[in-house]
Amino acid sequence: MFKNFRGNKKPYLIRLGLAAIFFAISLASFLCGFKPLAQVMSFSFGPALAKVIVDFSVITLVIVLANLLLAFVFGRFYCSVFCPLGILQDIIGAIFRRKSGKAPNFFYIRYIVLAFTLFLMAVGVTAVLRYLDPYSNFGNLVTGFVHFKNVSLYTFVPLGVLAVLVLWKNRIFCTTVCPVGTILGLCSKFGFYKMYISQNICKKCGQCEKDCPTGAIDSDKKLLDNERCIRCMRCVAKCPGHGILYGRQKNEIMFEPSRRNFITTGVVICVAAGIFAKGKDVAKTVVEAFQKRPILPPGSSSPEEFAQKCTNCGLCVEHCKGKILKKPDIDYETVHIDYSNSKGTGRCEFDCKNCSDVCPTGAIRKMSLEEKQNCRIGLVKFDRELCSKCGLCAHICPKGALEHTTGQTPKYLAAKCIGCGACQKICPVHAIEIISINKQSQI
Amino acid sequence: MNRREFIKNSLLAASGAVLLSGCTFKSSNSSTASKITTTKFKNLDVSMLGFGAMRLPTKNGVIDDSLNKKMVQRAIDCGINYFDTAYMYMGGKSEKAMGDALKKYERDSFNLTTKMPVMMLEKEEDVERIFNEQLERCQTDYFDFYLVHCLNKHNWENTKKYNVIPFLEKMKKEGKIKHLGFSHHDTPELLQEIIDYYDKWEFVQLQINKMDWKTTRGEEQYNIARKAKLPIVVMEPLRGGVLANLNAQATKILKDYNPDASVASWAFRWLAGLDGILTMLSGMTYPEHLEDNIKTFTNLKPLSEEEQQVYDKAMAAHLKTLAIGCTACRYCECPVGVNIAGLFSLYNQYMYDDRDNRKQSFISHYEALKESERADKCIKCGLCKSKCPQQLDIPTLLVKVDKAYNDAKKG
Repeated sequence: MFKNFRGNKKPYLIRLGLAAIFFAISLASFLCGFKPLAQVMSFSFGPALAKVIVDFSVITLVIVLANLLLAFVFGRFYCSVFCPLGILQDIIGAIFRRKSGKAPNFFYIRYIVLAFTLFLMAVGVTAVLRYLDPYSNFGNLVTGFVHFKNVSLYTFVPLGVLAVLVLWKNRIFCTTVCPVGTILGLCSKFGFYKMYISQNICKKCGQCEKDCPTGAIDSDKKLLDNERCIRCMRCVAKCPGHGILYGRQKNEIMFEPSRRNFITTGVVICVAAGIFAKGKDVAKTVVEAFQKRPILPPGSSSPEEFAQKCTNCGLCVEHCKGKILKKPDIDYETVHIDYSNSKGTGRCEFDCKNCSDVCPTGAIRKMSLEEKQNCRIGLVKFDRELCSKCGLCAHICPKGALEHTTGQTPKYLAAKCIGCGACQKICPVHAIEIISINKQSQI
Repeated sequence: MNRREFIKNSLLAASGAVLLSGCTFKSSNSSTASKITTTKFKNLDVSMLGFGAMRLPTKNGVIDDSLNKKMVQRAIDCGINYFDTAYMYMGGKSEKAMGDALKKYERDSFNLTTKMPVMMLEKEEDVERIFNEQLERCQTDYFDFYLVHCLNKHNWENTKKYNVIPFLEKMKKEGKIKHLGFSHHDTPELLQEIIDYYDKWEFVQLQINKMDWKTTRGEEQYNIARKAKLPIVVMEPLRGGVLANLNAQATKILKDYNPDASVASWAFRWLAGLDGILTMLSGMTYPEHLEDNIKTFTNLKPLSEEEQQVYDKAMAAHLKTLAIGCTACRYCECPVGVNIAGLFSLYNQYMYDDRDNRKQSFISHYEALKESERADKCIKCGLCKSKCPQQLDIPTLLVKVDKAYNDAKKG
């Protein structure tokens, strides 16, 4: 398997090993329903950045800063070791084994995408990560395939696009589109420890350049672009003369597409910022286009707000005890509750707040169990004519919002109701329906 | 390109972005006019017209700050110096908007009023938290007038339970409140109880207008306040705009007598005939409202004997067709999004519309509402009932509106 690898193979193997471990953790956090594992996903850079804006906590800020600092000191290891979508790209590449040509350096595109993303996030529309953040896209793919029945275009389109990109120019997504990669790349570019090509040893054989997944190497000039280098360590393994070094570089020469680029980029960022100054209004009109109002998991405030924050990674869907959380569908563009789902207990379990615990983006706010148990997510619509007066609903209601005396229609006390759906599920004659509300509130 | 340049560039880009988004255009549009009539309150001269912030101008569903600032400027120029907001007005956005609009004026040139939302209290600490939040939102160190908001039976219980009055008294000692009062939405009996409970109330805010005078015992409440020698701040002088839009018959009576006077001006001048009024709060959504009110309140004159009779006649004509006594305060906040106030207003208009095409007009207005806002979407949870200051049985009334729509459709 490694017959072409004539260099130092050890770093490459270590990196592959670590990547395999983290990929397994990422998959397991979606598939095995073990909550602490899912909380590891909160260390992902994209969601953590969103969470700092949406649901600030010091821990999240520390996670973001730690990620930046690591990239600054060591480089973009995040992309080759931790990022599940990055590793997925490597896997796709390995399966198809197509020799893709050298990836070009579309630096304009990545800065514009980054400026666009950061601006929308700054005005509160963190949902932009839904389409760009690697973790969220990975989550969307995995959960999309788990729930094969409600698999939609929304699952296949991103996978298709990703596969095409990989087959075209390997990890071009990471250097052109991914805003997380661009941020970490900038840290890495001006960072501390770097990858570089030894000017003495290098014989310009071009082995490293041929295999670099991000096109970060120019072997003719003996230059390595640390901004795009994801530290995959392939080049180290490939170089027959051990000519690719990692550490502090004396007389450093920076990889430079051209001097004017940064000035131009500055202007582009300014203009983009100006254009998207109205971004929030635009997002709002998009949201309003969805007429049907959903029932949302407790802690997500209003549909408008949630649509601006949720990145659809689907982690909560996998961890929902009552199996009522659903992936996006034609009714609503984000994760939402569907009480008619028959697989699980079909209600929002009273003593469970898994969705709030695992949500890495803060779209579902962190809550204490008491807060969750008092958070109204819907209300009951009660059809008195259908009611058979059995009283089961009053028996099951965890909040005592339904009172029943034998032989009479139960009395509904809306002030106590949180809309958990227990009554709807148990009602034998379907006289109860949970209705969505405009904005969640504490009762 | 080195580290230093990188930092320099990013700072440049950031400042560029700030500059671009931070551009504002100042408007200079101030004209002087003759001043609004004032009353004496202790050492203050308070304008008889108070600027209410419950119905601020909106644009795309949010407060139109630039228009609001222009209207505040115009109000101040004309001598309006009483500004009344509250924690819960405009979905909690009103205080901030008023703070923004007023911060450029000398603090002692106007009176700022806000209210403690006792209905929202869940524990005693909430009182201090909310009060401090209000200071921050209004961007001020003190409130000239401060009220305990919307006292009814339930809210009065909350006031006592969470020791609201001792806290506000403390704030008064610290100079953060100048004058303390309360607003009241219940029976005369409860009003008497509240006044008797605490002897340092300095003023009271009551819903007084021609329509409530007899029907919801407004006169009795007025008399109780007068007996206790409390100056009265009048809220809902137009009863949520109802008294500015009387039915065709009533409007004709008023216009025949005086074609220049607006319908609203009659209501204000009727109030001007009562003694002991500190100020009348008007929530002016459009600049036209403000201009019309300025016209009325400049040299404010009470109605003459003859005018009183004309107004009585017009009101009698109007009350014949009035259906639902909603003031559109929107405290009800339907959780499933039924547009309660909008529906009631439509229904009322329909009821006193005497044109031939009244049915078509009602149907087209009704169908212009989003489906989720219509009367048939009511799930009868009844959460609105306890919040309504007019004590309307909203779910039952919504059934009535729905029936009216279905009947109109049938032809």
